Amino acid sequence: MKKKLTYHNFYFYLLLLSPILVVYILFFALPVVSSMFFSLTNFNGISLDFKWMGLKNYDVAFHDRVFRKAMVNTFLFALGATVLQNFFAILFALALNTRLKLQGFMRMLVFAPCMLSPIVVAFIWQFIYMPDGILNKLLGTDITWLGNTKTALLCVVTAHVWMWIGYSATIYMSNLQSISSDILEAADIDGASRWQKFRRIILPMLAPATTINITLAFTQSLKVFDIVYAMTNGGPLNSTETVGTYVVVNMNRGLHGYASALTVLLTVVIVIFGQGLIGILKKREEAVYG
Amino acid sequence: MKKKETRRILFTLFMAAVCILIFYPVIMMVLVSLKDDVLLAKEPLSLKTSFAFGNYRLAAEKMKYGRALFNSTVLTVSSGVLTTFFGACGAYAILRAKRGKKFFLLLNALFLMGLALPQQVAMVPLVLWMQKLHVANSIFGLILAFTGANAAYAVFFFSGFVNTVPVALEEAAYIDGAGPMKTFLKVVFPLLKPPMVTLLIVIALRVWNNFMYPLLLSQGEKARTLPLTVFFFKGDLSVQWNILFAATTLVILPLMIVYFILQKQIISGMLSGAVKG
Repeated sequence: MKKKLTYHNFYFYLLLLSPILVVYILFFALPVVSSMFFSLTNFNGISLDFKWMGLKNYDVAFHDRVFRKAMVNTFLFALGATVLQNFFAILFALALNTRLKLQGFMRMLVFAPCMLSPIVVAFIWQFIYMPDGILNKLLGTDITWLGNTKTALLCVVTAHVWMWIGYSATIYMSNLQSISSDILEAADIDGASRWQKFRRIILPMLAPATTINITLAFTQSLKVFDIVYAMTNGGPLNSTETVGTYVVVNMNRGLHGYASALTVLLTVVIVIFGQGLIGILKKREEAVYG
Repeated sequence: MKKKETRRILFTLFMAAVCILIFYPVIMMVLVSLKDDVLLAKEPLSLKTSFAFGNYRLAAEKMKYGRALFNSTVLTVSSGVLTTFFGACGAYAILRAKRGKKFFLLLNALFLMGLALPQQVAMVPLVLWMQKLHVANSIFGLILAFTGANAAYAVFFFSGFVNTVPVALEEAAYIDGAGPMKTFLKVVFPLLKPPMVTLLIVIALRVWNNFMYPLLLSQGEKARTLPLTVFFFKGDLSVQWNILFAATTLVILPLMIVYFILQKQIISGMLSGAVKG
């Protein structure tokens, strides 16, 4: 009786798994594998009449000035976004965690930007950065923020960071609530200053939230596409070109084989850095929590 | 003591001001969207508005708001529900299967591999692939593409929760004569409802705001989603900020309404989504 039941079960479980499996294979796994394959060809996205190119596309990528620039920009973007986002998020989390009135309302306001479409965020910030826009009025300057190769990337990073501060801050806040007040009171009795308490107790104990926030911010911004595409489209003079936008540039040129190679390279970078960061930060966590 | 109290009030006011400042770009967008052309030219940055709701009618007409809203809603709801429901089924199957366990574990490894990969890497061949499968330029195709892209995450997400469902409960149902399907639907499924809501929120937000997939996979006008519509709307328009911001306000409005109502669920859903991811 029991044996019969498990026999039936194999097909039952297979049936249960199959819908998600079929869609996953057809619309993700196979495209990923064929992307790796196409990266070794001169596939143009339309006809299947392509030629084998070996590693030529990768060789071209390493010598492509724009791609190198895009890679550097992507890293600068990721680094800038990660540092700024986490710095302000910790600041906010600490400030909002002090049992204020209206705390829930404030949290709602700060969290809201991450629910917006990045396209809308891009347009809002384009307006802010306009030559006769609000930023220049406030600073009394006359800078074309998005038209200047020196400032454009930082401007896009700022918009991206604005969008995600509340999200990171909320993760830090839920971690802060798990730090017991006993430890902080003990530190008070020992005469620790505010800074000492932050540096020696709060910051190390925020390790779990830090792991999530840094890894997430870094890998998400390595993939960045829409906000850059809508705000500057990689310009001026490729000064905001990221790997994400450069892939689409090459798809529009009909260089799908090359674009595939770029996505493969991007994936390798994301996996290496993502896993590397998690590894390092988890060790740090263990050093605190054991 | 009194000094401390005033300091506290001052700090609260300061923080409130900072939070409003952070949110101000959104307020500014709404203010600009309500200015008529004359006021916009004269004082674009002031707090004054002329309540020019005509901007909204114009924007909605020009960007075909109704169609885009319908497309986005159908896409988000269908892909969210499909991914969540079948993701839960998949995770349950992988964890509970006894016969051919190795086969199921192999499939699980296949899902896990996809977890670390960015959407971009499937992107390039997907364009042609969807055409060959005759699902390009349609909402149906996008639903499948998004379900595929989020499948690995859904299976991984539910694996943790299926493990918390006591097997004894299922065995009791078996003994009472329930078939495997009935056990799954009547015993396991209700227990998985709370994480399902969480995942539905996470996936829905990802799909609703996603721009890259619709941009590259549905180039026809008919299947445009909200983010795509507003993007092309700006391209068609020699930037009239009041009309554009009326359009962007219309784009974010549905989600903002949902956010104000379901704030707590959304925030905690997004957070647990981050922790699991």
